[in-house]
Amino acid sequence: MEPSQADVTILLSELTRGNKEAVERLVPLVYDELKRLANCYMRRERPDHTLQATALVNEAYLKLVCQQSVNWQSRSHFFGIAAQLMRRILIDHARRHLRKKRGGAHEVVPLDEGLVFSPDQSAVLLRLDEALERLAKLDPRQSKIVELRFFGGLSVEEAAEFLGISPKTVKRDWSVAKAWLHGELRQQNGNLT
Amino acid sequence: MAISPENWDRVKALFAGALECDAQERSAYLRENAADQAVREEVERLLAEHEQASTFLSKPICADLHLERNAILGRFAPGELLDGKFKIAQLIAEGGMGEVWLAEQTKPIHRMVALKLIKTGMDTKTVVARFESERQALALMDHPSIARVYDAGSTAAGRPYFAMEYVPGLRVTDYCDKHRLTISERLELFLQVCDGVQHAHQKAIIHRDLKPSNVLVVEQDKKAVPKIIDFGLAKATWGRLTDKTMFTGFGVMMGTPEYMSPEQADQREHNIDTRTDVYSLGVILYELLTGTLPFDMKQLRKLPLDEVLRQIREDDPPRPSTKLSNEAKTATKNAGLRRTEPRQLVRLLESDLDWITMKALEKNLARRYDSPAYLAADITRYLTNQPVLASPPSVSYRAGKFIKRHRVGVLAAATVFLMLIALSVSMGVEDIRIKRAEANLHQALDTADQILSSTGRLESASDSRMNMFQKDLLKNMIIFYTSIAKQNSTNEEIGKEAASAHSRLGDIDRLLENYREAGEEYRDAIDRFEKLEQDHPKKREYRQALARAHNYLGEALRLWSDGKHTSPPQDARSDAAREYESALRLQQALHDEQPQDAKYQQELARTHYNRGILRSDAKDLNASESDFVKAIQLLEPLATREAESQTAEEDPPSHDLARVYNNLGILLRSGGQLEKGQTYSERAIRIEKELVKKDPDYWEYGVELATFYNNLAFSFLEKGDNEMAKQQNHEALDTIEDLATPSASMEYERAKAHMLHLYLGPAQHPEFHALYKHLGDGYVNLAKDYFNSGHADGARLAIEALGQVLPNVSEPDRTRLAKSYQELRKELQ
Repeated sequence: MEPSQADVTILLSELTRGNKEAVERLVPLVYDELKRLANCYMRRERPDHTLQATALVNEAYLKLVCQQSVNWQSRSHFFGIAAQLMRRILIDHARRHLRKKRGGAHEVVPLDEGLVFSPDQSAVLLRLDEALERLAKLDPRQSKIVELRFFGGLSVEEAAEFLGISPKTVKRDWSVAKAWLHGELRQQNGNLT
Repeated sequence: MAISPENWDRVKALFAGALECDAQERSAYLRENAADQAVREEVERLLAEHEQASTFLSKPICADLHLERNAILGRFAPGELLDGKFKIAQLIAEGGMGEVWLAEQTKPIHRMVALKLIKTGMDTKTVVARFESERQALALMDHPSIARVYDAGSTAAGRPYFAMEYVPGLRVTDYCDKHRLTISERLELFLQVCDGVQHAHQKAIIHRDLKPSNVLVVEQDKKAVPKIIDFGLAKATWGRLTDKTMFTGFGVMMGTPEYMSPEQADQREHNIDTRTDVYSLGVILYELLTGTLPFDMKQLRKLPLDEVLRQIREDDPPRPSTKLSNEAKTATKNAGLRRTEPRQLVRLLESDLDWITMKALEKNLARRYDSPAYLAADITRYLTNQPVLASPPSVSYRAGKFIKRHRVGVLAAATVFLMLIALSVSMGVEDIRIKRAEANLHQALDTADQILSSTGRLESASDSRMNMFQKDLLKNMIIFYTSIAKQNSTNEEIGKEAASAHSRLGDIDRLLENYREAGEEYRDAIDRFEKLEQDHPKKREYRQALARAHNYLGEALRLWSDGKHTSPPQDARSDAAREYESALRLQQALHDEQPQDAKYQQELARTHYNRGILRSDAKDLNASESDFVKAIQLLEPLATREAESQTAEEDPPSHDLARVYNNLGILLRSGGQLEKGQTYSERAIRIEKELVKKDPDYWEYGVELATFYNNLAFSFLEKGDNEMAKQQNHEALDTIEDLATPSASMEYERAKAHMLHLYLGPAQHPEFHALYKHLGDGYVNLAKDYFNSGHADGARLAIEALGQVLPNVSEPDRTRLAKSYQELRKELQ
């Protein structure tokens, strides 16, 4: 059965009321949509503009975003889950992409602003993912923070809320993690050249 | 080179520390703090990476998800043509509800309009359809303070939009601050806003979302003119407010709950009427006067939605002047913006303006201003130095709530309060502020009624639970009610108050066990209500009051004749029976006419219950049983309904039901039907337990529950089941013990002492020695408290009780308490 907007609405309201199980039921509903967005992103396309065709995740997303005043916690919780999903989807996608063009030369990729990936930059994405795995062994929380901020687009405050730590700690961890990851990725590029 | 996890924490800390230093100081910092070379090198490496990584990962990969927003929101691009007639110019504002764009309408008329784009998340078709349904009504509005809404439609992206009069103005609060308007100037402006809202109400349009950002001020001919925008939008966009989806609708549509009325915050409340706008106007007024909101929204926003809504529904905001006095920091600034000093401002707001604002913010719809016009009229009265109608906000309402929480303490305080009111009533006549005196009087009446009804839940003055304060209070209330009861007037309103006052006097005398006087008062009340009833046969309230007076007269006569009181008239019982008859006849008729009215049903049940007791006193067991059964039949459905509502009621039918079951249990037991009686006693206990659970603050339920257990214990004793009897007694004691909450007052001690005494009787239960000691100590404290508060009568009672308990206390406490006993007696003389 097609998940309806009403389902999302109900689940979201349950989430706002503190029903954690709602997240579990919400994820499958928004998973496809996240996947679609990820695809658009990988193909560097703009997602289509028609609202009618959309967009459970947009619906869910907007509802949560709009609830500025209300229950911050469930909002960051939702995005925390979305971040994890997004990472998984994108990495799967990148893997498939690379498998297809196996044998192609590895490229040196500039670590430019915002790490804007092109489809050809799947390799970098995978490297980032691997580096994150390594970081997780060293410092699981930092790895999680990167996932939340980079894959989930959570703000410092939202990430702090999700992890139950202070925004200050998030900020600190975030800058260390970034420096560390920057080193990891640069090193690999360097080795390749 | 990898760093070990053990050293990682150290690296992190040093990295953070180094980042806080200036670039030049970093090496020195690391030299000083990083002893381990590997660690230092790692930190230095990371710092170097950090320098290059400023933009690295700075945009989330799924920024698209965020960038999407514009696409999702279907934003306009300047120059775009909407619906072939609106040429988009620029974005004016962005808010919780969506954005507002300035646009040029090209046809059919050429004009500038404001296009309000509603956020997605709702059914566009429905929004537009709802707007269409109200369009005609909106078109009827024609007022200088109301901005017109011209059109509604949907964008290509499917978002609903509204086209309306473009108002290039400031929010009313900002305008007032910018021009440093004085309080009077602000009020003048506010009056125009009220006038506009009133106009809309007359066209049957409720705004539902009044707030400063919807009240803009423009200058026309050098005059400030407020313009209310967004009329009709709220209904179109959150018309579904009344159903369950409001929960999410709230987040999407409302953004902020600052100006939301208590009834809007109540998800069960479906009656949003014009008074909702009055409330929001009250919040705006509050803000205009003080520069702050009634509720601290910064605090509120940290709370879950449920709690925010609860606060809006239940919590009383501080009065404007109080709020200002409490916020010294902002008071200077806010006073400056009103061209005055903080202290002057507080003084300016005190009384009249406080009251006006609070009356607009009343939670209770019935006490709020009925319409913006009434609110405006009171402000005009203030501005022209006439007495205002508003008076200290809902004293009685609040007293009622307070009484519920602290029944006893309040009663004592109310004694003083009533005296003051009585004085102000007599003085008010000479003063020009007659209106206010009248308002005081009404509130005093309300308060007194509430106090009386909470006291009236007890049977009589010999009820152990009634203390001296309550008795004093009742005596003082006689003075108060007498002044009203003396009124003889053809005016219906005064006649009604006088009749009620007689009835109240009857209640007081009945509670004080002055049955002769009570009877006279009730008869007087009956005469007056009969007359009112004849003059106004359509008004059921008079018949209801008449029935009540008959019932209570019956009660007074029944109590008089219960064998514990002196010189009852010979025919007291048959007179009582006749009074109950009269009450029942009237109440049965009311119930037949209005079978849905719970109050009539409950009152009818009560009279049956009362007559049942009379009949059982007269040993007419069968007749008594039939009355009790009748009462049960009437009360059961009410109690079921009550159980569904989950909230604690002031006068719950289930309480009556529990009492009836209890008495029926006793009745059947005395008739030898032990088993059946026991079932009913158990039912009484079950219901009473629920009451205790629902309303734990009201300790009388607990005491009563203990009584019910005790009755059940008797029933087991009669069966010869001593073990079960003992068990019930323990339940009773546990119940009493559970009452020992932090709020345990001396009244509680007293109740407990009495109950214990009642249960334990003479010293047959050695295991209760500790309790006897406790009891003795309780009486000593009680007596001291009474002495300290100057109530010798109360002290005497406590000392007497102590004397009765003494023999049951074991040594060494007996000697100690005996000594206290003698000292107290000396003090008494």
